[in-house]
Amino acid sequence: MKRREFLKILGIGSLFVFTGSKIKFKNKNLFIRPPGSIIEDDFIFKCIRCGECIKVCPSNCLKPVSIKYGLFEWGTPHIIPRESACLLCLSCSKVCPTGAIQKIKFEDIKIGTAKIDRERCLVWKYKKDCYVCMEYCPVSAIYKHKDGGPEVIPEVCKGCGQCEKNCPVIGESAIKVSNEGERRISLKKRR
Amino acid sequence: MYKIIKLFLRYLSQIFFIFLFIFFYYKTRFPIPEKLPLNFFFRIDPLASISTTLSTLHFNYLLWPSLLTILFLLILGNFFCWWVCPFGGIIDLINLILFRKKWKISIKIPNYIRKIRVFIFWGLILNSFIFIFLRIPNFFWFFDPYVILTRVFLFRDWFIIFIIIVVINILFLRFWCYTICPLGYFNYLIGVKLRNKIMKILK
Repeated sequence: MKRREFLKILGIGSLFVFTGSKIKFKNKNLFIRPPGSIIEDDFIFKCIRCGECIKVCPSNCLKPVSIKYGLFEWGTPHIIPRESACLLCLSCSKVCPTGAIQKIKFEDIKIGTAKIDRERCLVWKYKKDCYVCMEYCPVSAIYKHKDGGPEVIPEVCKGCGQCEKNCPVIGESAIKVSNEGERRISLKKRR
Repeated sequence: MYKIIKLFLRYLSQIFFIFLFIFFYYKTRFPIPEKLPLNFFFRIDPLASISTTLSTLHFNYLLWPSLLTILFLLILGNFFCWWVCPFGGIIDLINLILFRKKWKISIKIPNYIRKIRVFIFWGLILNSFIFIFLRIPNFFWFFDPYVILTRVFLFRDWFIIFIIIVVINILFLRFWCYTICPLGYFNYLIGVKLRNKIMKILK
């Protein structure tokens, strides 16, 4: 390679880096990631957005993050529980080529925690006999509170979103899953 | 005669790998067949391993087949783009089906346009590496042929991008491979440039 060519490449390369550095890094960590995902900071760089996990998901709960949430997360998989819930089958971890989603045991799954909005819940607010969330919970993390309404045990809840998906309340669900308390895998190295 | 046989074998190999890609894609559904390497094409992709390793400073053992690819590139030369790559294969086969040669539309790509892939490749490498300090998003996936191929079947927007790439490739011979593909440039660097240097030293 000639010196002039090298300098050109170096110049354009640095321009690329400079424009990139102007984009602010906002790691809000709002997304519910598939079970077995590594910590968010590494996840967005280990994930090559190949779409294998999205393709394999039997419940079609994995969706790519839209560009409006930022360039970092764009194209990475996340779960929108209201649309479709995770079956906790761990198929996504089996197809991930780069190890952004790693193979884990069923007991270690914890992608988030459900929380009941008592102001919207049919049982808490209107004293209806609903309990759909309780029936759908695959790990029995929802129990009947002594005051009558359903309540979540955060330690048992895996955050799959079956409760949110099947909540009969129209519009926003009365039980919402967030990534609070999620268990992520560390790559055992620090920068 | 030798050239015709070689061309015939190359088309056969390309068809085989395209079908392999489609077969793996088809099989990537629940329940997963445990014995099939469904993510084979991503794991043999050296650019994926370089990009993810540089940006996280962590090499994942799952990507070890990419090291084999580099080794084979050194031994056999740049066989990858012409014999294995399903993206290149699709482009070649479409040209073959449409009798591109008979149309005589061979617009040559100027050399300075061909340099785009050099900038894309080094930009991506620099981006992956510098990212550790500056936190820059990694856009490697946007240019990876396998990522594009997989996403083509999943999302409508990517299908449109794919169609555009194919149409451009009819006008300019292998426009994607010669002008944009960073993986193609990496294969050229290892399989042609580095290999030639090693051969010279060995001689």
